[in-house]
Parts: sequence; structure tokens; C-alpha cells
Amino acid sequence: MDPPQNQRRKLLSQAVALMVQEVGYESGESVALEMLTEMFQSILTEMGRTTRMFTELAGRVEPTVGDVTMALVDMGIKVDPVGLRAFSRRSTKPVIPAPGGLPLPKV
Amino acid sequence: TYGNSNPDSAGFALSDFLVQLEDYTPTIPDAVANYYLHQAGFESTDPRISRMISIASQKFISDIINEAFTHCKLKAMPPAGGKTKVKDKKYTLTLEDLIPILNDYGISVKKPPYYV
Repeated sequence: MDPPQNQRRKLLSQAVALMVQEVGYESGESVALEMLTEMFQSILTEMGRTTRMFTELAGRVEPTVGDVTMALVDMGIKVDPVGLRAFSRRSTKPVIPAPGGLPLPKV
Repeated sequence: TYGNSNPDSAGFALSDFLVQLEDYTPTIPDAVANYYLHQAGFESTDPRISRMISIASQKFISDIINEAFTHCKLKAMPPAGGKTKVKDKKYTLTLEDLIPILNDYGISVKKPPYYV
């Protein structure tokens, strides 16, 4: 694995650890945390892929909210705008500051 | 149909949520989310769309952890009628808690037959 990927992966596992801590856990097994990190990465990639698929299916280049909705439905994730809003506005939301010096992804 | 103008029961649609993401900072930095989205071929000039995807996937993971915690707490509760009270218990996220929840979500996971 190349170093920049490790950096991003580290941030993902930080996010997972923060979420685990947020709900009330004191600690977590490294296997469990690692699995959640892997799932996080997979779901992010898969959501991007599926959204892209629906955008291109409609003959467009620019993704729309409808494409994201279709991707969620296609992946079997409940479309829940109210829940998403509540989740995004929760008071305990941790924020990982953006790291400087991450190289831009290759186009 | 699931068009972007289709409101949910509360009359709040995903497109309404999108406009609220203008100045929003998700837990993971946009740069990191964009990297993984980019890897999948996803590209958008509108940062709100990728933020929405980032939040949706975070919620997915968070929901799983939440459910695992509820499970874990219920398991740790003393039997009804018992006088022993568990105070300040420290919980640890384990694979055993996580696996049944993931199976409920349709993700089949097995405990690896080795130590990590």
C-alpha cells in the first residue's frame, strides 16, 4: 500500500474510533475496529460507484440528488432525509480537521 | 418513485437536506471522502453531493455501532430483581457484539479463525 492511502485509511479508522467512542464504548477490539474501517471504505467507494452508474445511465455527467437516492435504494439503504439531518446536526458530532499536504488524487 | 422531489412523511426531502450542506463539515475531511469517491469514478463539481454521500455512509456505520452498543448494554444488564447494580461499567466493542448486528443487516461476517 502506498503511503498516501495509508494516511487516508488512518483518518477513516480515526473516524470509526470516534463514532465508537461517541455511542458510549470505552474501547474496542482491534479486529472489530478494523472491520468497521474496511466497511466504511467499502460503502463510501460503493456509493460513489453506484451514484456514478445512475448518473451515466441518465446520460448525464453531473450527479444529482436523485442519483444519490437511487444509489441508496439500489444498495438497500433506507432513504431517510430526516434521519440524515438529525445525524448531521447531532451535538456530539466529532470533526477531524483536514490534513494539510495530502496529494490530490490522480485523474 | 424515489425522485428527488419526492418528500418523505414529514415533508422533508433529500433535496431539502442538500441545501443545508453548504457550510457543513462532516466528521471525515472532504478530501478523504473525495479520494475514495474519486477512486470509484465519482466526480462532482458540487461539494454538497459528495458531502451527502459521506454523511450517508457515516450514518450507516454509526447506526451499526449504535445497535451493537444497545445489544451490549442489554447483555450486561443484571437480571431483573437482582440487587447487584453495575455501576460505571466500561464497555468494549467486540466482534461478538458486532457479528449478530451485521447479520441482521444482511452482511455475513464470521469470526476469523486466528488471532489478530
